[in-house]
Amino acid sequence: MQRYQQMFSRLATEGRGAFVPFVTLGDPNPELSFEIIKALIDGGADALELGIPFSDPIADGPTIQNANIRALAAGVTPAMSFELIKKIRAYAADIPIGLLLYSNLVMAKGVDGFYAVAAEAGVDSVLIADVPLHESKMFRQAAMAHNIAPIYIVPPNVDDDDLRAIASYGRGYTYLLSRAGVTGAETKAAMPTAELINRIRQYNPAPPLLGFGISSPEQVRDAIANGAAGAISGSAIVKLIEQHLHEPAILLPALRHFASAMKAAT
Amino acid sequence: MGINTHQHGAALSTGSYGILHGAYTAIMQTSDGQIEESYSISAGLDYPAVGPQHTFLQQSGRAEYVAINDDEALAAFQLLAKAEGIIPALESSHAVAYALKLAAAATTPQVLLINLSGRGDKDLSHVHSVLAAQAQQQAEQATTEGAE
Repeated sequence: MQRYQQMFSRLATEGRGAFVPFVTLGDPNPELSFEIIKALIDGGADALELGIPFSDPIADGPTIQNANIRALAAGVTPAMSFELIKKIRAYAADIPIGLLLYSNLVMAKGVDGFYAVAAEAGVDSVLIADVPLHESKMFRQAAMAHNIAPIYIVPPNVDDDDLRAIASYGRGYTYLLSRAGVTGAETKAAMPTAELINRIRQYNPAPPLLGFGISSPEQVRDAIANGAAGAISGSAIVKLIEQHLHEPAILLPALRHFASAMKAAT
Repeated sequence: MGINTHQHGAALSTGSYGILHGAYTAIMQTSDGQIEESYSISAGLDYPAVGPQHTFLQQSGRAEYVAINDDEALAAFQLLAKAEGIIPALESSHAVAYALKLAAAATTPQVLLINLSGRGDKDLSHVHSVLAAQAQQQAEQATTEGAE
């Protein structure tokens, strides 16, 4: 998880924010997925947020639900996802790699075993989308034991007690939610005010990255102007994958271009 | 279709636990933790998990859970309707079906209490179409056998 600290201190030196793309591992198949992630790294991604395909992705809107369905239809398992992560780690030794997934995948082979496998593959952080703060102890203890940063979500209506807990338990970065609801570019991010981000930062949590509904460079610019340490974009990227599923020659340059436009706004 | 097929909704009979929709409970899943599709003739049982209260009651030994297949539930639905004029919900028909099994096995007079958790008016058109399809299938089989 030290890779996040290294990234944020590099960005601080540059006076810039982070651009973090999200994709589902193995979408639409393991081979093309690796090329997709390489294109995002080549385009300028500062860190990666990666999903392990799950049958019931309840925090995701239709775009990322379909990414899960495509990857599962291609036979992608958690074990194959970790193999893919190892290849990505070999390609980019310093990039922070975060997992964003659902609790039953963590439970299935035993919580400690899951984090051990993740650490061995080169994962820096794990965000479990369906575990609320107050149920997170078992997961964050296993994460810390394996030097993996537990990531916490700060919703727009967060109260002070939860902020205090998140600041104390979270490592790596803090996932600042732009709005209520599921993932998707259909519902644009509501930009948190500079006051809200300032209030959050007073508790000194891991640096906040803004996510959900971020699909344009202007939104990245606004997020950083309002005090976020960067922005996470998922559905906009997955939509490009969906549009050019069978045209890697168009898809990969388009992803590189998208990533570099988003990075340029940091 | 029954607990010995892949088409069922009897999560408590799988002996497998995990988290679905925010609850740690008995669920139907693969070894990787992917949730499996459930199946049941009754919509209320067509879910790959059960409320965590049931898992607790089962694990603490305070309740025993058994599985009933579609045919048994359908037969019980019709029997209670014909014998008592009470149309049980398809969900409750599973309980009636198990009570009938218990009654058949009883050697001394017993009182059995069944909780009819819902009424079957809502299920009439569904039951009608299932029974009509079964009757047609049987008629076709009889015709084929007759031709041989």
